[in-house]
Amino acid sequence: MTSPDSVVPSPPPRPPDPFRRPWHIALGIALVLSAAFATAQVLYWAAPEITSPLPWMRIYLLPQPPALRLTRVLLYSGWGVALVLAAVLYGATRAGRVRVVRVCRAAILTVLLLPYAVMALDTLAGAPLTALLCLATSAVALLAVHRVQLYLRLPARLTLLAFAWGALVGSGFAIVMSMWFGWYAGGYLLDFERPRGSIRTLLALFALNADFFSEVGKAAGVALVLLVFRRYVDGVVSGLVLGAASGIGLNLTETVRYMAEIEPGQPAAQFWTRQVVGLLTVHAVFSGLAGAGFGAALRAGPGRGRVSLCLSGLLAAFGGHLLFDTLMPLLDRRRRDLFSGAETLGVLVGVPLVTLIAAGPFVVLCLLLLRRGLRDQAAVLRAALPVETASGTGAVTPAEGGLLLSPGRRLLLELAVWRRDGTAGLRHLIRLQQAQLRLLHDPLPHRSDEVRQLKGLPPLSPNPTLPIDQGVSS
Amino acid sequence: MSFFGPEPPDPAGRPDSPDGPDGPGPDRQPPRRLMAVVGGLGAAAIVLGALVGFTSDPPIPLPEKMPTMPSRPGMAPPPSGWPTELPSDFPTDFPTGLPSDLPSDFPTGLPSDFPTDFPTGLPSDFPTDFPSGFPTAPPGPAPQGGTP
Repeated sequence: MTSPDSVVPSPPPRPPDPFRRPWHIALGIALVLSAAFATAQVLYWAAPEITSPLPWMRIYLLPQPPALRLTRVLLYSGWGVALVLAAVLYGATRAGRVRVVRVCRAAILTVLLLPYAVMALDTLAGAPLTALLCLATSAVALLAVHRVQLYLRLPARLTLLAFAWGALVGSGFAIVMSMWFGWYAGGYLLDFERPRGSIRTLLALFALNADFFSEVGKAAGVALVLLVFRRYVDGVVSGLVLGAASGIGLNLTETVRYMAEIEPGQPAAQFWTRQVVGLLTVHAVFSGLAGAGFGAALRAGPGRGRVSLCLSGLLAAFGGHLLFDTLMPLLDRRRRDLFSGAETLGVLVGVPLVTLIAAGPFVVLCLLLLRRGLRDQAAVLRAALPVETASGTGAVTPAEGGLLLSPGRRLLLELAVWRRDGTAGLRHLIRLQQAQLRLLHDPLPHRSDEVRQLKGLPPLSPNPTLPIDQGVSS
Repeated sequence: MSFFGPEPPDPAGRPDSPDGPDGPGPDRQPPRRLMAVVGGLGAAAIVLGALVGFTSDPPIPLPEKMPTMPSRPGMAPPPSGWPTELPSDFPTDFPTGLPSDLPSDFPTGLPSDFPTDFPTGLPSDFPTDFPSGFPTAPPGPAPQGGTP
């Protein structure tokens, strides 16, 4: 008699998975983050001692904050637990115990990645009112990013998941790596005989390190969400949205950190700079570019093409961030000179101006990718519409087809339905339209029944036992 | 094969068209050329950013050379108070709001007995009147920085 765990139902024939080993890719991502942390730890242990009493060198002699100590303990324990789980996973895979395999894989990723959230939680918990204030503007940005998907939309929970990753794990990882660099770099690089040159190098490398690992932290989450939920991903647009959401999340934690710890004397200016001007133009754009590369790779065939698409997105993300961070101090000096007699004007007008100069080209790139992705979606829908309306299933009528291809008209209809039927009616309408769009985009057999069910029509197939795809809700 | 292992039939199906991810049709091809341009611009931005970062001076007005300092503070106590008059080759706008006394048991390695009220976290412990030197935390109403 076989146990329930060993029963593996035979799946029906389906197109080949675009990723043959998604679990291995996800594990690789988690191991890369762990390797980066371990390398930084080793560099820290091996760093030469700093013996100068110069005041500004105190930064390298600080004790480690409790949150970092806790992160280290959790990570070291997590590595040990992951090793044990790996052995269990190996045995379960050979025995064909599906449920155990799933639990082990989820647990391994959790113990390897979740400890990074400690640093971010410490920051957010240290300034809860500031965090709430920043959450309000972040929510507006998330809604805008979600709604920019004019046709096919990711489930809202995936956008929120990417946001949570950016705010907690992504930012925590970036904070930790920056702290490590701050502690070990001075020992290797400082030359007290020639402080100017060595500090210039140190600061440049600090920016490089901070920007690299913040982009890696954000991109890791986007890649994981795309891998796990790739059946909902249609390409560039989905990747871009998830990347932007991750960037908005990291931006929130960074803003709280700056307002509460780094520049506590200028909270209003920091909020204006980071949570208004920079909310959708800095972190969201950079990680959006990385996400677009991943989303495009999901649509590409296996091989070097996929790797080059991912690499393009990551290069743009890191390059944009580094250029932004190195240009901003120079531009800020010009801004101060330009608005020397009017500091408020310098903040209200000057900050958007310098942000536009430093980040503008990458914002344009992002918009070009978004436009290209939406046009490709529209082309597919337009080509599929006559076929579907002629099929006679009743899932999409010709009148509905015209509406589906017009985002403006759909928005007006949504407003009208919301006024008449409230939120419940609006949600049902969006679910129906998303199901219709998915049917047009990927005309799989059961989707017609799905749409007919939402319309209140009887299904066409003889055994209509398939549940409605919950993933297509708004 | 799903992410977490074999699973029952997926009622929502897959995003791929039946003829594969690169099948015929208006949209199925990823925007390779556009992504190549994006990647190229990113690489150029990395080079430019590194050039700017390694060649521009930080906001901290540092001298080219430092006068000789005691290598083990505490063993050779500093003059009474930290120097109140800066050496002549220092810039005149060098920040003076720095602490005037060092503890006599100032550690040479990483501290275990550091003052308990010492601020924690990097780089937030800079004195508020000291220009923040990191490119990711410029002074004033700072534009975006990369320091998380």
